[in-house]
Amino acid sequence: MNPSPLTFDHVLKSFDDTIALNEITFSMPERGIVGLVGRNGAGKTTLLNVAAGLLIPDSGEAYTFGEPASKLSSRALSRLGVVPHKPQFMETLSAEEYLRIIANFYPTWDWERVATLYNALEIEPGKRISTLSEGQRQKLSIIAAVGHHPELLLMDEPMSNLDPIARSETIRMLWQVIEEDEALVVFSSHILTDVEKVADWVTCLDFGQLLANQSLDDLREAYLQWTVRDPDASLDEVRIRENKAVISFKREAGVVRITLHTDGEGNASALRQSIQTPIEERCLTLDEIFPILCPPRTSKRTLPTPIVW
Amino acid sequence: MLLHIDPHSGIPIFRQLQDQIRMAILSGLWKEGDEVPATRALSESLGVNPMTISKVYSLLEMEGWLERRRGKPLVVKGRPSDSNEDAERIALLRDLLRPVAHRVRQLGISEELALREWENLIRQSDPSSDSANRPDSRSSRP
Repeated sequence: MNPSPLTFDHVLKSFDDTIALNEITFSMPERGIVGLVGRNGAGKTTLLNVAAGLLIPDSGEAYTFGEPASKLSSRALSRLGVVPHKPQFMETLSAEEYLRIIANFYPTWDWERVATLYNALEIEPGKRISTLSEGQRQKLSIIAAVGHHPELLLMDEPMSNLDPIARSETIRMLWQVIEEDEALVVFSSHILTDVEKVADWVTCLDFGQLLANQSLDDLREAYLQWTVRDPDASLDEVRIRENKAVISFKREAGVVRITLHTDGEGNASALRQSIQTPIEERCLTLDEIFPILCPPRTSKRTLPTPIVW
Repeated sequence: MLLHIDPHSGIPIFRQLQDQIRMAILSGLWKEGDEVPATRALSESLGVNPMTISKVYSLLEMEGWLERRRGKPLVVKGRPSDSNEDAERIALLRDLLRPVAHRVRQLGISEELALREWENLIRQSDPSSDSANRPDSRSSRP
């Protein structure tokens, strides 16, 4: 297995009295699309900035292409693409003029890819940047980050301002990038349905700590909801709740819904055997898993119903 | 291509695809020696991450449904030699029917009535009876 292009080794970063990244240690996969999720203030932007070498950790180190991220060589930088949350441009230039300057830094720059993206994302290259909308600026920033066929692409909420068409074109483009360039793409997002559609890996941060770092499929298959028909309320709620895999137990109109986390210790299968009636099983969606991973700060034990956050 | 995925389903996309490709091979829709669709093409047409498609292909390759001959594209091998064709088919059918069985219970329909409906539907879907020759289910058979 090839080494991951992005690993974190006890990275600590704080701002005044806020700890943004709390000594986190982990590796991203070798390639594919990572959805970086977490609440506002969880540390997502800090993580991306540390990886790109834009922020220096207080202690620990991130390794990008195996090099310390705080002092990346120009060779490593030429393989890296970054889409910042709020892109800065030279406003008086046109999109094309801006990209021509960027292209100078990269021997691998591909104007053909750029032309395809102008088309797909509906960018008029001759337009002055100061006249572009938020969404168009975001698109231009994406084009600027992928024109040189990066092997690692870091994107901070790249689709937040995009309309549905630009969003799906961007998604197609990302799939193309991981196929053609065998790249690793890391994008942060609050839109979990987007993450579920686009990504194959999920990294979840909360309070600067790592709560999940695994394939989307494994994550989804670990969280299940069982629906069991129980018209005469014969299932023993207390006993079921005692099972360590069980997260919640809800009765509604003749059925019981049990949410559970399969832990590899056989608690779930033991429970399955103890329930006599047939069980209808489904995997939870990311929208439903997220509040379980990151419970509200005040009440740790109660589980919220899925929320838009 | 009859593959179809439901992104909002309670079944992860890779499982849906894996099941459907097994089914396509068992039913003879994908024949032995056929090249499988390119990852990129399938990714585009289904709107699915190409990593997911590659994962499904490698899982099916490991199970013996697909085969990669040296330097050649990935092709259909047929059903795994150590598998029992009837047992496989029955297992697939069971997976399909299980949710239906739940619905039958939820709707409070009697077993007898449900079975009669089921029998009728099977009879109607027989290609020799013209009435129910639905193009999507039989078009690929000669």
